[in-house]
Formats: sequence, C-alpha cells, structure tokens
Amino acid sequence: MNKDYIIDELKKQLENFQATTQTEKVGTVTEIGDGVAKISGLSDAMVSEMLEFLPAEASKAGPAPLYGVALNLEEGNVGAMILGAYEGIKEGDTVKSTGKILSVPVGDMMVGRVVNPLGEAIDGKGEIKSETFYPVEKIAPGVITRKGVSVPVQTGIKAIDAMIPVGRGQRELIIGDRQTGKTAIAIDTIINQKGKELICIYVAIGQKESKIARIMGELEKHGAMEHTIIVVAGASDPSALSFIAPYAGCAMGEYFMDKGKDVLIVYDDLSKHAWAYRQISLILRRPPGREAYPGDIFYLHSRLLERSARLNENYGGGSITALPVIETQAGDVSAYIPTNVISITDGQIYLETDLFYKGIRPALNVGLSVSRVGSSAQTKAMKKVAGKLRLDLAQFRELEAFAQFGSDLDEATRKQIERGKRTVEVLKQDQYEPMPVEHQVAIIYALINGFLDDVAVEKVKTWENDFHKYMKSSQKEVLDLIAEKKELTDEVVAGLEKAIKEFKEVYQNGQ
Amino acid sequence: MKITSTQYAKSLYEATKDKSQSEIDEVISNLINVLKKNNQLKLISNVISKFSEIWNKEEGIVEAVVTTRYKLQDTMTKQLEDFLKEKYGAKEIVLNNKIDQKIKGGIIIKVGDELLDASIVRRLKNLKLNFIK
Repeated sequence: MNKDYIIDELKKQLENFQATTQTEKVGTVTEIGDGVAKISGLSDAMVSEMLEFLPAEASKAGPAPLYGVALNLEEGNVGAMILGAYEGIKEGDTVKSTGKILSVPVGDMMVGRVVNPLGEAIDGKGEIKSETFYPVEKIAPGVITRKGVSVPVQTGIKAIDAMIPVGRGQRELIIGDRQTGKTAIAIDTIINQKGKELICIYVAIGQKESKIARIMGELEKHGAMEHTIIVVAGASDPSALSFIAPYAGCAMGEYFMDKGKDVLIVYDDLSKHAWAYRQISLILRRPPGREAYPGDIFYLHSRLLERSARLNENYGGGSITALPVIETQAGDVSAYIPTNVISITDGQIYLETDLFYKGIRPALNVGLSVSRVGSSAQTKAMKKVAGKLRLDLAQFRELEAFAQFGSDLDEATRKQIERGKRTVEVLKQDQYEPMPVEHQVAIIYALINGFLDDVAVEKVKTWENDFHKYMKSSQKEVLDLIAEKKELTDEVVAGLEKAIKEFKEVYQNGQ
Repeated sequence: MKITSTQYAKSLYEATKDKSQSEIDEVISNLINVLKKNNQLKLISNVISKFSEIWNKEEGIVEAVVTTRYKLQDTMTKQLEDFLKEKYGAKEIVLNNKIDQKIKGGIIIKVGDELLDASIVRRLKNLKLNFIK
C-alpha cells in the first residue's frame, strides 16, 4: 500500500461523509459520587438504558465513550451507575440517552478470550468484533420451553460425580469459607470439559487480578482455555462492573444455549456480587434492609440463576448449567446471602475448613451437600456403585467415634470402620486432576466390593494410582465398555472383576 | 402526605390565572404562609422554577438556549424564532444567546432536554469516529 492510495482513500471517505444532525435528548449531571450519578433532564430514559457521558474536556477521556446505565427513574432526575472510570465526569456535564438497553457482544469468537463485563477484550489478543448483541438483563426461559435434567455434567471429581451429581441445566451452589477449595472445584470442572462439547464461562466478580491471572495460567496449561470464556470484573474495577458481570456472562452463555449447545457457567463469587449491588443501592439512596442489603437482593440472584435452564427439543435443546460460588464467614450458612442462594439453587456442595486441614481434599461435607435433581442425570453405572458408597460412608460416620476403641469392637463394626477409612481415602483427589467417569466407576466398584480391604489405609492412594495406570494400559477394553454402555451389565461386571483380580495379582507380585 | 413543589406550583398557577396584580400579590403572600405553616419554606426555589415551567407550557412559551461562536444577527434571530415556533407549536420564543468560542462554528439549540447540535466541533468529532471505523 503506498501513500497516494491512502490519501485517495481518505479523500473519498471525506467526500462521502454526510454530516447529519438530529435532535437528541440530553440531561445534565447534577450530582456525582462513587460511581453513581444523578442526572436532571433525560425525560425519555428507560430503565437499564445505556447513557453516554460527554465530559466537558472530551480530549481527556480519549476516544472511547463513557457509558452509564439508568437505574433509578424519578420525577425530574435519573440515577445512573457509571461503567468505567468516572473520575473525569463533573457536575454540569452533558449526558445523552442512546435508546439502547445495556447489551454485550456475543458470539463464537468470544471463546478462548478474557473479557471485561462489557465484552471488551482485556487479554491483549486484539479487539473482539461482533455483530450480535444480547441484552444483559433478560427474563429467564418460561415453563413451556424447559425440560427436566437428564444429562450429566462430569466434574471429574469422584466425590461429586458419585454422590452429588450435577446435571445439565442444574444450578449447584459451591459454598464454604475462604481457602476451602471452592474455586478449585469449579476450575477442575472446567478442565474436565476438555475435548467435550461443553462451553465454559468463568465469571470472576471482585476477584484479585493475581488470582485471575493464576486461574488463566492453569486453564491454559491444561489446554482448557480453548473452550472457555473468562469474564473479569476485578477488585479495582468500579462496582458497577462487578454488578453486571454475572449477567453479562450469562448473556454470552445464552447465545450458545440458543444455538442448542451446552454451557457451564461459574459465578465466582456471588457474595461479592451482593456487596457490589449493596454499594450501588446505598449510594442511590434505596432504603437498606437486613445486613444493609436493599429490598430486591433476593431477586438480584434469583433472576440470574433462573436463567440457567435446559431447553427442550422444540427450542433447540441447549442448556446453561450454573455453579454459583458463595463465600461464608466462619462457616455461617444461615447468614442472609447464603440462605437466599441455597434456597434458589438445586443443591449445594458444602466445603469445610476442618476437613480441609485434616487433609481431606476436596474438603466436601458429604452429609450437608446435596443435589436435588442431579441423580436423574447420573449414568446407570455410576448410580449403582454410588448407592453403596454413600451407605458405606454414612455408616462410617456413625461409627467413627468408636474407632479409637480398636480391639474392643466386634468384627462387623471393625470391618465397617476399616471400609469407611478406605472410602475417605479413595474420595481424596488432587487439584487439576479430574478423572474420567469410567475410571471413577472402576475404582468405586473395587472399593465397595471389598477389593481394597486388604490394602493398608496409607497405601490406598498409591494403590489407586497404579490401578488407574494398569487399567489404562492393560484393560482399556473394559473401560471403553463402561464408557459405551454407561451401565453395569453382567458383561461389564465380569470384565471389571477379572481386571481387578488380575491387577491385585500383578500388584502383589510387584511388591 | 407531603405536598410536592410541583403541586404547589400548579395550584399557584391556577390561583393566579387571569387575576389582577393586587390579587396576585395576595395569593403569593398566602402561598408563603402555607409553606411556612407546613414547614416547607425551603421548597420555595423549586416552586419558582416549576412555576415558570408550568407557566411557559400553559402560555405556549418556549425557552431556547442558542450557543453560537459569534453573537446572533437580528435576521438570524428572526429565522430561528420562526423555526422553533413551527417545531414546537409555540406562541412565543424566548431566545437566550450564549457565546462559546470552542464550538468553532455552527449552532447548538437546546430546548428543555432536547438538543440540536449542528456545531462544527460535533461534525469534526463524527468525522473522526467515522474514520476510526
């Protein structure tokens, strides 16, 4: 391309440029503080309409226009939150209504990218150009469009897939104190979707940028960024961005759901989301209620989580599965936000600090964790082995207190305690090591049928690792059979028994 | 229930409509008394601005702020008044001419919260946005 060509091209554009003028509705900023502006005028503004702020010294703000969202429509003035750096805005600045409801760009090109809640790339891999926009706030799919949960989301975590199964379209809460591995479960689930058809969206709300960078690094290392979108509202971003982040992430997911695809979306975490909304509401002078949250805090989360759905065939059959995360303070699940979200979701995964420090990781409290709809999505093979597993664990918990009496116990009780110890051992799993479902079925089958009873408790971990290696290398056909049949037929059971026995022989000889 | 400034302004307009000067004076002092009795004297400036809004609306007066680079000529003023009268169906136009060097040229007309921006600065900005695209 030479110079003359560029100049010619510019000339042509200049000649064709039409200066059109039309009347527009404007308002004036009368009050501004902490990311929320009061604007007088703007008589035709709609709720959640985008408003364009025109700072008096436009050159300072750069080329990108600054947008706000109308939240309060009062007589004579409009309360709006500002999406972005609000330092440049002064009292008396002009505000223009755009006539557009707040929406974000959506599309296939978003996959693999890190974006802010407005859909702008922040990973330095170039601008995201999209023709399609979805509104950030949308009413959830209605009754006639929905279908029951019947296909599982494989988290790759033994304890969850076996006892607290998650189905596509389900909303499963991950709840626990800080530092109990809540994010780890979500990230493992995303990593486990590698090579599968599920598209993952990780929404970081008010998270430390360092944590987000680490998560991004892990996902890239495990090749999981190829099917993942990360939506980031960092701790230093204005709370308006934290507030819209989950809705924006959900809108990006809805695009894929409408195309008939399955989406997994992680909201990490909704406590911070509630804080952001509380801040905005209080600055807007909405009356505070319990714990100073505004009156519509329940609706804030219910309308978000209700957008997770499984559509029936007439509507494309897509789904959005949500894994909201809630951080509790000192294990208090009866605080305001945790109880709200527990009541909205279809079950919860409850993580405990005590278990975490005992070395049981994931630190799952099996008694308090439930999945209200997931069992109908479990594969038959898993359902069969998991039933016995749950029973073993429940009995173990009851007898655990007696474990210290050791020799004074009768044979049956002692056996149950020993089995329970091994069950706890098997359910431990390292981070970033999701396990395919056929391996899970094989090890749980071995466990509940007593094949591990003669292995020392501290050796269970190595035994299991070697078992998986052996199964993968020498008994591939059995694993394939489980994966294909998804059921414990006589053929599968026979194959499994034979494989486990053969492994035990090999293992003993190797010792 | 508290009475809003809009309600005061409306009733003030109705009470003073087609009245003589002495009657108006009395109505105004009554209004002050009512405000005082209701402990709402601080609303007075709001009532005044609302009243002028209502007055303008009822009497068909449109106030327009016209921003230009140089002071408006008489012929231009006339043309603008005709244009605005037609546009808003008003009987009378009150033009408020503001001089701003920064707009470089052209004209910005603001009526209420409606804005007609035909300034050179705005056109240049649009051109810039067009080029960026």
